[in-house]
Amino acid sequence: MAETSGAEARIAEYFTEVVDLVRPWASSVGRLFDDGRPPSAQAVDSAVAALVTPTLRSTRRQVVGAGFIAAPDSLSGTTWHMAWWQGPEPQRLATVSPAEAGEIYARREWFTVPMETGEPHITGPYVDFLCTDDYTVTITVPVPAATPAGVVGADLLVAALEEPLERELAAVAPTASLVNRAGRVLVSADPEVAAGTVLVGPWRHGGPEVGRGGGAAADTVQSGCRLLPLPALPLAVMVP
Amino acid sequence: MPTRSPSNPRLRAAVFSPLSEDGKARQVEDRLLQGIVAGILADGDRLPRESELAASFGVSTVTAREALVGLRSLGLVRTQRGREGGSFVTVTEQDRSQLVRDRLAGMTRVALRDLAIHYAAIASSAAELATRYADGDDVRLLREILGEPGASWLRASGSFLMELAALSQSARLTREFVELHAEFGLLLHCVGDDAGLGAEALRQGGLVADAVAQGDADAARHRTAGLLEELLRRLIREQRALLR
Repeated sequence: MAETSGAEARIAEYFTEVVDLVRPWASSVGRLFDDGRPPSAQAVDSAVAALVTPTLRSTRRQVVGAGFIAAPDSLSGTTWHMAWWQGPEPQRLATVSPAEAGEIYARREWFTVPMETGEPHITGPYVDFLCTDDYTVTITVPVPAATPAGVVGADLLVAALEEPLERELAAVAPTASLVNRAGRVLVSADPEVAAGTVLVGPWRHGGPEVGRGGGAAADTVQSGCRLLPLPALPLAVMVP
Repeated sequence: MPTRSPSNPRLRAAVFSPLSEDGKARQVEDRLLQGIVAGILADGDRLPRESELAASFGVSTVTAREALVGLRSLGLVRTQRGREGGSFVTVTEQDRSQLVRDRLAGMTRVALRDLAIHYAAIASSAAELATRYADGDDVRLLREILGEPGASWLRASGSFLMELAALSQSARLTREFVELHAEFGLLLHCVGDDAGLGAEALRQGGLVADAVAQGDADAARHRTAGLLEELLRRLIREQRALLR
């Protein structure tokens, strides 16, 4: 693998900063489960509110929503629970009926992947019709506990990635794109490449550096590109 | 010198059309009613306080109160005083079905068709875009939703179209879909127990998913529009039956 350039390092830093912000929330929420008894939804709500509201209020960060999503039956008295706040004047995400909550997150990538892998995950870009109601990237980290307790996470708007990352990508190559694990573009230095486009197939760290193409959408696939995975992140810079 | 822009007078009128507080109370009432009829606000659910309602709808407290008075007069909200007090939804399954039927029966056929056209235009455009952006996991999720055991066909097809809208990668299109779905999806409750229609809707949904998997934009668009036409035809028949 080629040496990581300064621009790539700065792109990685943008996301690592958010992962590092979210990770301590995971340990704090995890401690609520320490005595082996499931905490109540209220206990979780006040703890999570205290953790996430300073970040949402801060103008420096691009985080537009943050909170904790409980694993099914991990809290006492409820099967499903979302403790999620949004906006600079943090507002609780309107609570949904329990039956719907399950449907809402039981099969969402931002919930299932970190629960399965035990690793931080970056989902998106995707249109988030549950929380931000906007085009979103979600960073989630699993909460460590004896049994999986859920995930904590933060939402970023895809639109906000252009300004800080486009120039860095252009420094790597004039048509470089930042892609997620599924080969989908978050942001590109090439103005013709829309966010959301699946440019390459799924890839993994240590895999072949030359993309073969994949995905269901044949007309958007390019093959023969170079992939530069960002260290410790499910992201890569793709150079056609 | 002030000049008059040559814009369409109808559009100009829309810009300056009055925003009466009276109309707003009706809108708030209607939105809550939609939530109740759709089952999002269930029997016994506590509604937010007047001040919270006012803040979330962006209206005055007086207007929020007026909307609650309207719902109370329909018997859909009960207000309890005291520390454990508040406004609570009171609705039975029968009330709910009756409310939906009233709504369908109260619409003109022109309005019903117009709603369906708008809904189908958004849904089928989204389906077309989805063929460009969906990957294998997205297609798998679409199929899972259609085949979910125990889910009603209404719920399954609603979630399917919702997911399809989001796959367009357009937040605007998705928001538009959600709004239209709240209206059109609600009416579909009138024909929710038609098992034959349900099986056909899920089958056509499956064909849309196939088209998305194959990246076939034309097929995705036409099959989605076809599915919604089928639902509209059935709704029109139901409306006739209700009015007879």
